[in-house]
Amino acid sequence: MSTYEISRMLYSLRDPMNRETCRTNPEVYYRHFDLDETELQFLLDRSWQNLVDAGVSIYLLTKLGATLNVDLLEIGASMRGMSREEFLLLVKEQGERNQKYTIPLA
Amino acid sequence: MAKIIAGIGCSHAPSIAHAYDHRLVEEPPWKPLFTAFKQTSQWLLRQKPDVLIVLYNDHVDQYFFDAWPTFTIGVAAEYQIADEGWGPRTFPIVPSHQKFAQHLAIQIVENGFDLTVSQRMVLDHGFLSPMPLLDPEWAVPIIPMTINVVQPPLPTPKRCWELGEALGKAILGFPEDLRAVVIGTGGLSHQLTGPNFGTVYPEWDRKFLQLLEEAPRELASYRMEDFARLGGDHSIEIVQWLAMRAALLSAAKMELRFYYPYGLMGYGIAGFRVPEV
Repeated sequence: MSTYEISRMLYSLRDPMNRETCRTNPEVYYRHFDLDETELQFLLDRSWQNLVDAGVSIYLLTKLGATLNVDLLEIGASMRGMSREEFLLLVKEQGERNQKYTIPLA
Repeated sequence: MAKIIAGIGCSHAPSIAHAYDHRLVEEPPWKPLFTAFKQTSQWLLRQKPDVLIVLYNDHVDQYFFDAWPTFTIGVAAEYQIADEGWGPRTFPIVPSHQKFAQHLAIQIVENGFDLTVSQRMVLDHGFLSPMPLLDPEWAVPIIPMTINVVQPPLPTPKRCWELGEALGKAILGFPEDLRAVVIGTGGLSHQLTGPNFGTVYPEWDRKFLQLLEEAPRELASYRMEDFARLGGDHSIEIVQWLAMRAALLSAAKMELRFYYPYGLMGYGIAGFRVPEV
């Protein structure tokens, strides 16, 4: 699956007017582009990891996230198969474990 | 003649931009990072730089896959702020030093690099998340340079090092007195996709800072896949720190070092001073 066309769709979301149009009816927006059915289904399902596995850049997915009001934490939690709360707890614990590696600015 | 007086390596991230824009800089988890940036800014501005050359990477906010340049330099008089999905952040237009930028472009090509020269580019968080922290008054003109870390095939770390060397030579060949600082942004460890999303690699980050100081050329012999494996797929931006380090003379000394693993990233800052003869 070439990701050029889906990437082109996501890149178009740099424009605020396109984001507004997409937000109003995402499926109609997606269908303006020549996407294949698998890609379209991943987008409609918000299957972030499937999109990454298909080769779509995370830097493009965050633009769709911004359009649909889904932040990176939610995208990431879904990629790990966790709820946002579960993921935030994991990150908090990681931070506590890693605190000892901090180098204060001398 | 122009001289390179200092180099800085620092993280860039939408999280930094978010914390700044939402006035979280004094909040407990963010305060250490923003305090470190403030101290770095004071250290930087005390040295009275005339121009800042900023090596960063675009995140598909400017470039696209129709034709992604490996190495670019901006030669415009000023730069606009990118809209990454939330509207452009409200900063003034970023001023440049066009004459110096044009000199660098010509000299770097003479030094054996096939640079893409950009007359118009928008600056994304790779540039914009640290720069208002380092120069809050927007007082010092900047020259943006980008490295491709997004579309394969990527340049090798060795090639990024060589770019830095070519940049350093080009700076020193400018006939006017100019105090130049080279800044490399990106990293440190972060992983933004897959089952390890959010993982930070502090032991490697600290090793990276140590190697950057003690054996930077050794870092140039790593492969991109090594950096990805050690610090996360998206941490390969550290090649921008490598290019910065390579631009400085070998006499450069690391005077500032900061590391703060928090949230989704190992945040780092390194400051090098080049002794003035």
